Amino acid sequence: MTSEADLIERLQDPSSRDAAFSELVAGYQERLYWQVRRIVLSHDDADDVLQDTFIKIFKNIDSFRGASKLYSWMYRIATNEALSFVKRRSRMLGISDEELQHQMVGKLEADPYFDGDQAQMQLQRALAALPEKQRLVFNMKYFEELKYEEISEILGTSVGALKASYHLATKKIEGFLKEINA
Amino acid sequence: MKAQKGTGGFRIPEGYFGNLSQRLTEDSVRAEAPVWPEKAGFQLPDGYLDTFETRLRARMESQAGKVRRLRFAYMGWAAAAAAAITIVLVLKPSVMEAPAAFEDLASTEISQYLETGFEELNAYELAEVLPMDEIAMEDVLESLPAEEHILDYLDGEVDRYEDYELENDE
Repeated sequence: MTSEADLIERLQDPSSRDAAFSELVAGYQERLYWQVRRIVLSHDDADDVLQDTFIKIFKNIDSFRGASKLYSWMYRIATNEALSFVKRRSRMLGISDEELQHQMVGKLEADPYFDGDQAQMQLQRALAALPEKQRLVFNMKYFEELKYEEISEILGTSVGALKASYHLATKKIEGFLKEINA
Repeated sequence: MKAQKGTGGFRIPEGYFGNLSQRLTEDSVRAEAPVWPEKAGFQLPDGYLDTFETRLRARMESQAGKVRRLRFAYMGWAAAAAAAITIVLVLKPSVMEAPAAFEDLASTEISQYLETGFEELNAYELAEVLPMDEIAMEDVLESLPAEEHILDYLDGEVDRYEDYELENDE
């Protein structure tokens, strides 16, 4: 029995669930944190969303049937939670998702947990100008160095479409950076 | 470096053509690779991940508590709704009364209706109005005629009865 299958079994057994859940949190919290953080940008928001993600995982672990890897399943939940969080906020503020992205990047300069230099700030501005899917794919491929096959399983998109998204994202970022540095 | 015949005196570094292809590929990759930062620049507060599970557990417990409170909140709303319905029932009883049945109408009103409502109808119109499918003979007649009276009636009216049949066949 693989360790993942064993962990799932213990998570689905009420008598061992608590201990297995601690193991799950310890093993995956950092990777999920970074996925969420790159979407919501602020640490405090990432903390809220990460907690919501683990609560959802805990509540729904019984419905996990192993159709995908546990990590992909959790990654998908984290991604959906983060995207929903951003959409809820834009609706609450009465602005578009694009406007909110620009606001979020604007706040990074005063964020105590962001110490990026000018190039990193410019890259975040360029990412904010991308469509949501391209931004997601770029983050997962460039920063997290996930394979296309892994991204495909998480986002439910074909590898070919992901490659096209990544290519378009890089071209747009290049264009954006050339423009602001010209 | 060495001079080669036919090069017009130009010289090239040794091994130049041997690794040209490799150098071209490297240059190409360098040219294509954007000079982007490898890190996004985000930081984590010190000890954040060490304390994450503790905070997560605390939130899960508080949410469980909230669920209980939420149930009581719903009970409050249900009580308020029940009180509102009771007030409506008490203050506006006429709204909630059952619709008046035929028996509830005063007999004088019925008589008045029958006298005024049907007096302008002839026999044909009356037949059109009355739901014949729902009316049995006993509803119309107080006592049913005996069978021999019916047979006597039909014997006397047989010619007219055949006329009716012929008309119906047409």
